[in-house]
Amino acid sequence: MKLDMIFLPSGDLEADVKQIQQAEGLGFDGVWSVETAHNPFFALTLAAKTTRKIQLGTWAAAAFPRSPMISAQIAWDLAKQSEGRFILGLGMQTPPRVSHQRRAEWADSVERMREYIESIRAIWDTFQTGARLRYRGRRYQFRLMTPFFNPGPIAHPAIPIYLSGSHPQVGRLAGEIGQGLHVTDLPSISYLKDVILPEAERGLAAAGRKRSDLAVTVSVSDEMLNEMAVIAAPEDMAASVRRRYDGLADRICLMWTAKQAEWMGDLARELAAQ
Amino acid sequence: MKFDVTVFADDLNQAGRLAQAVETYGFDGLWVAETAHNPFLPLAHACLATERIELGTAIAVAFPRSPLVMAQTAWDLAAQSRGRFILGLGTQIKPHITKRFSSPWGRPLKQLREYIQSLRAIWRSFQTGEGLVNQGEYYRFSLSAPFFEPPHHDIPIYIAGVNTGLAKLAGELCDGFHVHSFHTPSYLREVLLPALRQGGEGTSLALSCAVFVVTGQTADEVEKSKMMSKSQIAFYASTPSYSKVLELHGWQDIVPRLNALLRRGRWDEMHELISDAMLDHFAVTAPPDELPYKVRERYAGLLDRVGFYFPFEPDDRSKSIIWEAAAKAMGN
Repeated sequence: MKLDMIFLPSGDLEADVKQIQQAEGLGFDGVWSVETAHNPFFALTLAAKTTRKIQLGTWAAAAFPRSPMISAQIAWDLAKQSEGRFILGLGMQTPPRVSHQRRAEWADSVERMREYIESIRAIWDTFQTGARLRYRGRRYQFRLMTPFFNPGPIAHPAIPIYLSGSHPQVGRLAGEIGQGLHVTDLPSISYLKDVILPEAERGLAAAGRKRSDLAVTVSVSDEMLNEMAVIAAPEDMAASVRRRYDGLADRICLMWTAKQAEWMGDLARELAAQ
Repeated sequence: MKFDVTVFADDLNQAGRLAQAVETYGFDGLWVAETAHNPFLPLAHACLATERIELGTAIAVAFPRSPLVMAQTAWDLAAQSRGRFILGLGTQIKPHITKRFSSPWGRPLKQLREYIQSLRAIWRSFQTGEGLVNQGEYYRFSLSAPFFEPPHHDIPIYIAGVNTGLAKLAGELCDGFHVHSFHTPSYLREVLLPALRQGGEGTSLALSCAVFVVTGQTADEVEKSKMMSKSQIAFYASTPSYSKVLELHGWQDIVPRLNALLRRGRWDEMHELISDAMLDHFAVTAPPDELPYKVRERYAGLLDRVGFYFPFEPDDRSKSIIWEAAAKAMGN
């Protein structure tokens, strides 16, 4: 099992690069850059220069707001620079549960993502081999590339594509055509075991692929974290613990380390006083 | 007149060093072109590697990216460079947008206008934290809670163009205009400048261009430089929507001939259709030490920032000598 870091770009590229270097120093296998308030690729290109081993990927770079050509080119540049350490993680930015009204729209998004990925691979093939660019989908069509705009072959052209999401259809599509599946905001372990992974297996089977062809990464949702842990500011912690377990448990076990001793002492006194 | 360097950055691990060299030479700005590579990634390296020079795109293709993606990318580079970033945008031409980017092409002037207005509305929203509602024909946004911090000053927008429509739009709405290298001084003076003024009388608009140059230290180098310029000029001349430049001089009959060669894949013969007389209009020819003065002389009163359409390779002595001469001339 590989150990990765979810990385939220801070807007300060120097600090971001240090954090990724640190992760490499600690022995992490990969870093996944999230696209929220900042461009997710900048920290990765800077880190590619100063790291040697760690894999550099996006967690869910927004796909549709960029033409597949734009994403294909960014990935190509980063794969070349990092000597094959880049992974393109794409997201659709759609909620995990889809309402009835939006179901058709959602189904279209999934098909659009399939074409998006197929387009990117067709473009990469043209970059690598110089073959004529020909992709004809319903939503994307590519049929022009000239030498002036073609970056040419690179040493590690098989750039992995991961799909992000927690909708069953994303799992299925990843199984069919992805190298990986980022399960985003996992609501529960049973959802992973009973819903997402079986769908991914179905996708794999449909495409004649094996489970080992698909890497699955998981980020835990706030919902799930909340289920397992009491989350509160230090001053509200005692009240939160009580609120949750009053009438359910008679003895509360706190887990803490030596470094947290002082803080834990305050909490213990407060809990005892109530 | 400012002096800039334009590069096609193809090695991200060298991008910081390249930007540093531009700064050390004493130039004013670094422009990165979007051709075979993404133009923003090298600029992220340049932001960290430099302190003084302006950094921008010349140009980034607008329509294949949502304005939100573009706005965020520009915002990050502006913040990281502490206000030294200039966003240079281009429309590209229809076949490239539809067949190379698979993006929609409608009325490009209207679309670019809305694109620029969207960028500014998004930046305002980043800056003030206010919600964003923008309803146009091409772009519609409704953003409730932007989560962006460090406020900083306005990001200048330049657009690029060959024809008068884009020049007019630049005059009206933009901070600068990237004059396409494929121009002649007559075309600039007689066609583009009036259009720019028509768009915005009396506004301060920076005109920028990497001009074609033919130079070298030996006859062999000069000949090679000449061929390179002719090939590039021929390539641009084959673009039907750029034909107005040729028409001004009565040279439009080469367009169908260039296209015939292009269709047959005979790229390497296209330069033969650009005569030496034509080349003199498109390019400045001079030995390295005279070149910057000749460029300055030709474009005085026409351009505010110039550079050479010539590879910037500080490690290659035959090429770095050109830039050293330019840096020296800047001080004079």
